[in-house]
Amino acid sequence: MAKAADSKGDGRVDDFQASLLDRGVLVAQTVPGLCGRGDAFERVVSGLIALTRRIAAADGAERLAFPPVMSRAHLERNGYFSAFPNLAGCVHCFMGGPEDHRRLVGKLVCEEDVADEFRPSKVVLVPAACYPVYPTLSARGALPPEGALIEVASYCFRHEPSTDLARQQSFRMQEFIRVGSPEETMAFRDLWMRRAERLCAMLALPGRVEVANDPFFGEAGRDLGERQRHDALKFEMLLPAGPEGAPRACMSFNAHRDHFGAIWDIRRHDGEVAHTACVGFGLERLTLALFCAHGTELAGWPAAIRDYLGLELTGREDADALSGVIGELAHV
Amino acid sequence: MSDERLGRDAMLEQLRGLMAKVFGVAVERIGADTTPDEIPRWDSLNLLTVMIGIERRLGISVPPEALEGVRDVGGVADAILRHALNGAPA
Repeated sequence: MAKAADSKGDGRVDDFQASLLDRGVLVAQTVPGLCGRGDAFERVVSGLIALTRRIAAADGAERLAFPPVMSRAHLERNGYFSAFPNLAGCVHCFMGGPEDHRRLVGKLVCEEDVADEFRPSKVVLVPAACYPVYPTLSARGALPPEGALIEVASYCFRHEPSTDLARQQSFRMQEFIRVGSPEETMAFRDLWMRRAERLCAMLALPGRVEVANDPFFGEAGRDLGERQRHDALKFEMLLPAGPEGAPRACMSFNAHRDHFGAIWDIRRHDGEVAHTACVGFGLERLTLALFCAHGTELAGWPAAIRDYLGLELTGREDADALSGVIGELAHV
Repeated sequence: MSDERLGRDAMLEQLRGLMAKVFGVAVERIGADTTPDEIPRWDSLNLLTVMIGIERRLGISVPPEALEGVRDVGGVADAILRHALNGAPA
């Protein structure tokens, strides 16, 4: 297992997550799984978004953006509450009248629990950036012959409170979603697995791709997970990003087959139910992996990596050469 | 000490605790003779919040008009007690 990079140059390997807080790269908050981000962290996140977009530029993805909340009915239709009820986040709101408000205020003043005064609204927190895409495509009608390729990014929520800074409850996910035939979607998923390995090499990240499964809930969920692994539908790029450099899934490569196409009646031009696949970049975890590999001071990172991420001009940057490297990566 | 006096002291204690929380001041700053001029956040809305807290804790509902003319915390306590005893403003 890779260890956190020494950020002080004295050979000592720090608890790298603690050093992120000490140095203001991340900002601690009182709720486990929530933290703020400092300037250095945000600069790396922006660099990663720009880099992945440059890699994907020639693909011609349509860029969409959605709020970090979505229709509760849509999430329910996706089967999320059956598969991942423990991870879902529902937005509850006060919906009462004056008497209810009086009771709420009374409870607040008397320091009583006010949870009962809030009721579930029609929106939930987005658990994966691609979820709002499927109903959007469904509403458009049949796909064109070439199918669809969508880029989307969003803050996502998963209720898994943890002191591990690599397991945030609220985090950003950038995704590319391919919708089309079984062959097209599998080719897309496999292309991004190759790209991701090259991307990790570029960024000097010690990653490894492994078959994985979604964390389905309960006994029935275990079977689903095993089937998902057996059919090799999901892969993850594991990188040192957790406490003491423990590996965490920083990217995922998912073939959904016709799961979302059937739920949302997304049809190809020939009337067949569309298949979907997506690649997801966990931007917080990828950023953590970079800090874990290269230390907490951006100035100490290898110049090439700073260039790839657009962090600063280092004097060695050759814009044409840089574009060439990234362009080559797009066609692996 | 009379039962009435005990009732007033107990009411003052309830009020001091709630006012300290709602007005954002130390409970030691609030006594029976403390006036609105001494507490920057003592306004009609926050006083209403305090009264909602009294209703929640003690089951005594005091309409805003029962507090008209009160000059200090002791006056608020007296108004609440009068209302509780008589069921209507004095």
